Amino acid sequence: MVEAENRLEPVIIVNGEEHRVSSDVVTYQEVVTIAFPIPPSPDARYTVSFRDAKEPHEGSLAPSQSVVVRKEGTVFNVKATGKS
Amino acid sequence: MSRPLVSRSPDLKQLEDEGYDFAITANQLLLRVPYATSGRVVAGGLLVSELTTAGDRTAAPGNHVVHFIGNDADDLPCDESGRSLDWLINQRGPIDLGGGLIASCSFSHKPNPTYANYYEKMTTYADMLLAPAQVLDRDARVRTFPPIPTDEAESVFRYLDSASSRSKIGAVSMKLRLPKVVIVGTGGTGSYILDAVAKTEVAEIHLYDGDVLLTHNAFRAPGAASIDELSKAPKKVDYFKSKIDPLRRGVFAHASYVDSSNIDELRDASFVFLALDGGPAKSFIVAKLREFSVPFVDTGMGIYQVKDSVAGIVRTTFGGTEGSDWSVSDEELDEYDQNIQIVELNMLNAALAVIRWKKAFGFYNDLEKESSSLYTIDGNHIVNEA
Repeated sequence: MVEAENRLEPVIIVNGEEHRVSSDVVTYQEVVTIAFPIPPSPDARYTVSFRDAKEPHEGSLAPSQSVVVRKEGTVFNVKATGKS
Repeated sequence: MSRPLVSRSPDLKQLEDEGYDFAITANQLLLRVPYATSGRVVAGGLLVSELTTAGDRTAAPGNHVVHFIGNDADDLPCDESGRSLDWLINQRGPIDLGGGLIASCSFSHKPNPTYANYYEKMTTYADMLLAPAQVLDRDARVRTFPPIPTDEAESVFRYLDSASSRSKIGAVSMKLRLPKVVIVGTGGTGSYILDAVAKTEVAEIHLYDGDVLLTHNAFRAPGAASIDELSKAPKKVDYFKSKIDPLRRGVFAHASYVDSSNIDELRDASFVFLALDGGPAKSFIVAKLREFSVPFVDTGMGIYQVKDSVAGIVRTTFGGTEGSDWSVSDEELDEYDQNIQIVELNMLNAALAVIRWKKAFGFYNDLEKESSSLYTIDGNHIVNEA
């Protein structure tokens, strides 16, 4: 059963675009890399908010954290901000 | 809270619709947020931003800075291991923001291009604080869908009606913005009629009943009366007004029966619900309502015992104004007005009466336009009369 779920290859939406991911456990780093393959500035901090996920349903990810997504339709917003 | 500013500003409206808990005071925008403390627990804080307006709506944010007010005066927001968020904090306080608000620090972090509006500005900072808070407590939320108080000028409800706006039937609901609805009789059926009518945007609801609320009434009424409430033997109209008062304004209690001395008070009613025993009093009111051309619904039930079970009929009769023939005779009325009443039948009678009222004003689609409906309990059957 666990194997079957891993084979789902969920589709998530990152900053408005669909992406297929390999597991239903999606990490902070994974989403940041999808949104910003190249860091916009050396000191950029990333804020990763999400909604319509499985567990927890919505919130904001800390750098070490991950979230369980639905098969499709979980929405991530990644914002890069810099000190000023 | 400045409601017109919120409804005219897409960014503030989005904060409201998505359930953020915010307030506006003296040109500042305050957003309630969870944050992680140095003691590694989740506490409630406030983000405070300047608020730039152009006329009656928000403009682009004047800067990208927000101030932070913690649960304790010198609290700084931390990561999940209890270290303060030094990458985010650009100034430590105390910083006096005026109006009794003292910030413990300020944040200065922005995307490129910078925040386009207050929704983006506030939610981005809130998400920065939420992330470590959610590591400590998975149930931490920024979007808490708080009740939003209203003032008298903007709504009959004491807090914003999120039920209608969530289901997007606001335009249909406006059909029920009638000036004055009267409920004659606040027994079992009348009290449930009030319970439903109270949740519409009718400006004034007038209750007429001279009775005192007695113990047996408590078993045929919405909600629950306490022993204390019953001991005070309140007038029914005062008791039911007090039960509805937390939800809405515009309920008027008249602790008297309707007769020739006060029937003129019903002349300007938009609609009248009759939920009183039959007999001469009811016939008099019906005749007068027809004279005044005021539409109404009359309720009644005839319940009887058959061997060791209960049976009967629940009647809902509509008296429109345009050539409708209110055809139920006094004798028929009396037949339905016996003294056995049971709470769910009162509820049903009230629900049918309120549905009939809403059909008369175009809220519900109406293909049948019946003048009377009879629900028979033993057959679970409704018969309409033209």
